[in-house]
Amino acid sequence: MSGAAIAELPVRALRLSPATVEGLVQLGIERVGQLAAKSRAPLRLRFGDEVIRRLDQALGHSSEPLSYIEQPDVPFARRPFAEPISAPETLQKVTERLLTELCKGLEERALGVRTLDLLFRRVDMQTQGVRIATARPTRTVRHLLKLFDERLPLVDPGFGIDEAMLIASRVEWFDASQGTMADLGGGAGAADTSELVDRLVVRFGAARVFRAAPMPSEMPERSVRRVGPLVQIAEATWPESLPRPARLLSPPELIAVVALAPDHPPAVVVWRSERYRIARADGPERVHGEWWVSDDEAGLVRDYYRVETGAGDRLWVYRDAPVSEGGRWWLHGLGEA
Amino acid sequence: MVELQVTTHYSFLRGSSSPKELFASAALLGHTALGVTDRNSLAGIVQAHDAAKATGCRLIVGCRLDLEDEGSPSLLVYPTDKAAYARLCRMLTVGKARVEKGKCRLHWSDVAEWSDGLVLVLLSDQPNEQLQADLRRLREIGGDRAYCALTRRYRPQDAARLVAIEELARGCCVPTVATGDVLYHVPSRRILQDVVTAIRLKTTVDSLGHARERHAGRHLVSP
Repeated sequence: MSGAAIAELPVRALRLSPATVEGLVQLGIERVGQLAAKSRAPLRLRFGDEVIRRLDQALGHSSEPLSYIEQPDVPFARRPFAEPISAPETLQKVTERLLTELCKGLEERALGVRTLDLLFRRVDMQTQGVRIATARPTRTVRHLLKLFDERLPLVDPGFGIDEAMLIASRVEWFDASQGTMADLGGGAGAADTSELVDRLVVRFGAARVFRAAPMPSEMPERSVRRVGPLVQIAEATWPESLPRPARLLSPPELIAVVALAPDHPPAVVVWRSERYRIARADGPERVHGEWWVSDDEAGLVRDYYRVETGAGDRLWVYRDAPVSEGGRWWLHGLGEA
Repeated sequence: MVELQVTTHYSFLRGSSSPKELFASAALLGHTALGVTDRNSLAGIVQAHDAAKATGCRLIVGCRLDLEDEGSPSLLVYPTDKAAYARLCRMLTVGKARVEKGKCRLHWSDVAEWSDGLVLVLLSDQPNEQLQADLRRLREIGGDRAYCALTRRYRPQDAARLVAIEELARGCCVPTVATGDVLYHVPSRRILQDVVTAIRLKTTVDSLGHARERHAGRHLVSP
């Protein structure tokens, strides 16, 4: 009967496990047609029910309940206007109403927004949109409105706006109808910075709001990495035995140095034509290049010295090779270490 | 100047150069003698003896004992004669018989029992009360054959650390000796050393981080 349509397909198309497919191929059964032509009892004996069941399902002899992929339900609020609007205050008022409506719906479903799109359809059928994102799921109208306030001036109403629509394009489960005791006390130890983060991101861009986290890397340049503003930094901490200066210069700056002996710390440092007499010094701390990061670093050895000038300034300087090999001195960091 | 603390690849996953390579480099650099101290083992001594004969660089027979007492102190021991060498072998056999293959369990009491004719050098890390207690013990056992090792680590505050250790040792009437804690013969062997360390700690070189044998000078330097 109807088997002809799939007879030329490889047996793999029957959703069989790789081991079964391999077993069938070893028997010389490569196409569904060949499989259907075989007698069933030996197949069942050899491969179990799987082959027979899949074949029956493919040919329609046995039924298979399928679960359907459901279109996710995106929460939204929309408001058409009888008269086109264009005044900035009106836009803000409309936004507030849409937000109130949307957030009420979200509360019923215990959701919070992560990304919100506000779309304005103009009378000339063009659409203007602004998008905001939040660091944590939220449905606080006041907070979201503040974020939109930063962006609304970017909307060009043209000859007027017909319809406004607010779409929560990314939502997350969020259940915070009941505050904790800490909220009631008012003096919560760890202030929730997520709202501040949202406002900074909206104003300066996501790339410019970050936290610095320590990285267990040999090279000072790579000992810090940028992470998201709300990421908890727990796992990697910097060992106290390896003090680092408050500021790293990138790139390091060439300096002239007078040292009393080849292996001694600097006695005088000249940086940007300024002369610093060194009162105290500690070192060297020897740092090796990370050969697994780059071939150029395989032979790299730096001797770092922490030095203090007569005026009390701390400098972090290094020599990029032993003096006998013509090592030059660089200033890499400034400040307390 | 003599390098007293050299680890060969007979310390499994610790050192990364063969005795042959180490003695060849030492001879080229102008060393007159090399102290081979593998961890709880004398396995490298035979090869080291051959290499010493071939290169003319004298072999100082030694061993590093990792004790399982509080603070897990480590000692370098150097037998001064054949009888002391026999006692050292005996102590290692006893230690290895106590636990499964590949490990060795030794305590201060074992060192005290077998220490006749051994020169003892205590390895130091931080100048603290633990070190002071270990130094006292060492002095009790070793008498005037006991020493405290000073090793440059090339870390911040290194000079202050060494001065403090020396003062502690002097307080316990234990003289100090300098060791280099050599793990490989040429600087370029550091790559293999990092790989070996990663295998020992069951991690990848990338995520080794501060666990690496990072303080330098682990290769042989000219005397």
